[in-house]
Amino acid sequence: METANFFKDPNSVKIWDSYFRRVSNELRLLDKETADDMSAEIKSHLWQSFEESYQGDEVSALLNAVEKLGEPEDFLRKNVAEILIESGTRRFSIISITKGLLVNIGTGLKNLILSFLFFTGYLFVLAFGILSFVKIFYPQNVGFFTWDDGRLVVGYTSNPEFSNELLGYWIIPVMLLLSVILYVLLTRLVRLVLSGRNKKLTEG
Amino acid sequence: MNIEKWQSQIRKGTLEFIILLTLRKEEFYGYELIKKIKSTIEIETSEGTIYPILTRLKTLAYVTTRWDNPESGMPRKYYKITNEGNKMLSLMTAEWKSYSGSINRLIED
Repeated sequence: METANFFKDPNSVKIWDSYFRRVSNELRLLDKETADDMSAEIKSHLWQSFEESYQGDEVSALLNAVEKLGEPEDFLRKNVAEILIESGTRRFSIISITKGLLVNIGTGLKNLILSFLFFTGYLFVLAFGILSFVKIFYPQNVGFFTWDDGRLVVGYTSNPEFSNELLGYWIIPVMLLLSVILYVLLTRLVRLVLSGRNKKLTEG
Repeated sequence: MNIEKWQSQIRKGTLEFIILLTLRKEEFYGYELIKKIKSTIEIETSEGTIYPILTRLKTLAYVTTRWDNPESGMPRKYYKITNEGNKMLSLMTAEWKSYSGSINRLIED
């Protein structure tokens, strides 16, 4: 339903369109079907609230409905983060989880810290995966290195001279395995945090 | 702690319970649900805050949704409580009665 079909005052059209630009901006990271569903529901709500407030002045009625509904940034951001993380952990999608964690950063200090910790964990997942490929191209620089003075490097070193390399090409399956294990553990942990939050909320 | 903050915490903390209680007998669409809740309980938060809670209840399979397209006006998304939702509501109701009973006894002591 297009706004031009039901508003007579151009200012009402501007207010409506501006509000739904903000809604679309908040929903942009969701898949199209979910975003369209949520946007349609908010439109339906705002329209009914407007209709009830309307007593001849479109702009006043619409502003009143907008005020009662609230700012899209306030009520949608946390919701979007939860949807992305929940669907990401269900489908084991690192892209969806990362998007959710990034949105979550803006929803409070506790979520910022949690997002940072999980994000760091996923960076390690990525790093382990990348190292296993780097080994193919720089076999002398990637591995499990020890030196006689007690130094130890697991990963990449630009100066492997005088070191003992313990794993050879076994570093590739080891890194891949570590990457997969860390990924599964982190994803389960994110899901656990999320379900704990849901449980806490539903228990009131 | 002031009374307004305390009231707000209680209301926010029980909103999921209130939504499930409201949905237990009939299905409602979002705007209608808020109006129904507001007619019995004072809610200070913006109306939009109900939608993240409804999404969460749907994720937990406590409610299902369906779209209805009336001949005139905007389409409406209806929420209906599921068997899982009713089971959770029974647990929540029992907990609420037990907890409020304990508080009442403390008040009367």
